[in-house]
Amino acid sequence: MAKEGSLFIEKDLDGDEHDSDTSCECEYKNYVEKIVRINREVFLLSLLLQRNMCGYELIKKIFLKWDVLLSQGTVYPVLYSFEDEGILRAEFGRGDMRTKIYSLTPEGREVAQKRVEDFIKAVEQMRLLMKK
Amino acid sequence: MIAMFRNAIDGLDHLLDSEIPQGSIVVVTGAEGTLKSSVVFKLVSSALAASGEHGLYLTLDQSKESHFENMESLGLEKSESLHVFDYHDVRREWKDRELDMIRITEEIIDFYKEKYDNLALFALDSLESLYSLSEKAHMRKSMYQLFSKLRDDDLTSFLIVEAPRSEILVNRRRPEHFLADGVIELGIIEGKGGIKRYIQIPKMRATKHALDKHQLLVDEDGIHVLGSIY
Repeated sequence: MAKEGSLFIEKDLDGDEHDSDTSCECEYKNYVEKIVRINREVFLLSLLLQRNMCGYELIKKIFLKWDVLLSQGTVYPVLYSFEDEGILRAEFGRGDMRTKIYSLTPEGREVAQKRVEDFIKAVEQMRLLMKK
Repeated sequence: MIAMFRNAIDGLDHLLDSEIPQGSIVVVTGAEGTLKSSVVFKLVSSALAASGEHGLYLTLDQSKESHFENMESLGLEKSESLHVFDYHDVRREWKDRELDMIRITEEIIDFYKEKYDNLALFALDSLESLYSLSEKAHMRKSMYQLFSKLRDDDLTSFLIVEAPRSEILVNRRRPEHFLADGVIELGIIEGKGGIKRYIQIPKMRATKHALDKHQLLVDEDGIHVLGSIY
């Protein structure tokens, strides 16, 4: 996994920083990994709210931002499913017939905003209840 | 309701006396132009339309669009509950990487199983392409892994295997054929009556079936299985 991930660091053209972990962060990283994997639909939508991206870029962005490497088999079916549901629109990049760029439809943008807000609210609520 | 295949293609009941059991893995093999994709697409699509279950068709050889065009030209309609996953985007965007295609395939199945709790049918077009894109070192182990996954998930599965005409007999000894519960062979035969397409079922566990070759015909109404060729 680390080997696959290192490909992104070499290819990081956006200038995103990727912090290396220490062993004491292990438990924390496990929780983050579980949260991202289980809720990957929300994480993908949150990134697409920022800008249009292809599947490759979305996987890369999640890796660089949350240090979680999602497999192609867990991301592309979500994108296709969102496309079928009218949440996303897919178009080939300008002058690039290799890459399908995903963008939110107007309805999809509303769905995405609602889902991201609900997710953040749930996490916040969880944090407050745990501290009580 | 369990998917029924005997009536999925007109005349297939000439070959199958009883139903293919749920969870069977069937290899569909043949040379180019023998209608492997069309037969599998028709089998799966018709069975789903009758059963109300969901199915997953993974295509590696053709894009989803070109696949649909071909099917339409043969008068075949896609069932609403058949979900077609096209690997082309993954292949294009990750072309410089060696991908673990078996793992990716398993994850795709898991996604659709989670989304549709009555996912009952699975088709892969084709096994050769999956192998050619996979890590070579552990291919045999990966194949067992995929078969186990399909059995564990109780998916009735159709795996398309390319078999060049000259290698039909050699292909019968391939490990997939031993592992599979059934084998459907499609081919082209030349005789006094001209060139004909045929369908043959050399193996189908727990199913009563004919062994002889039957003519396979395509016309504007779709695919038909006619009588025995001899």
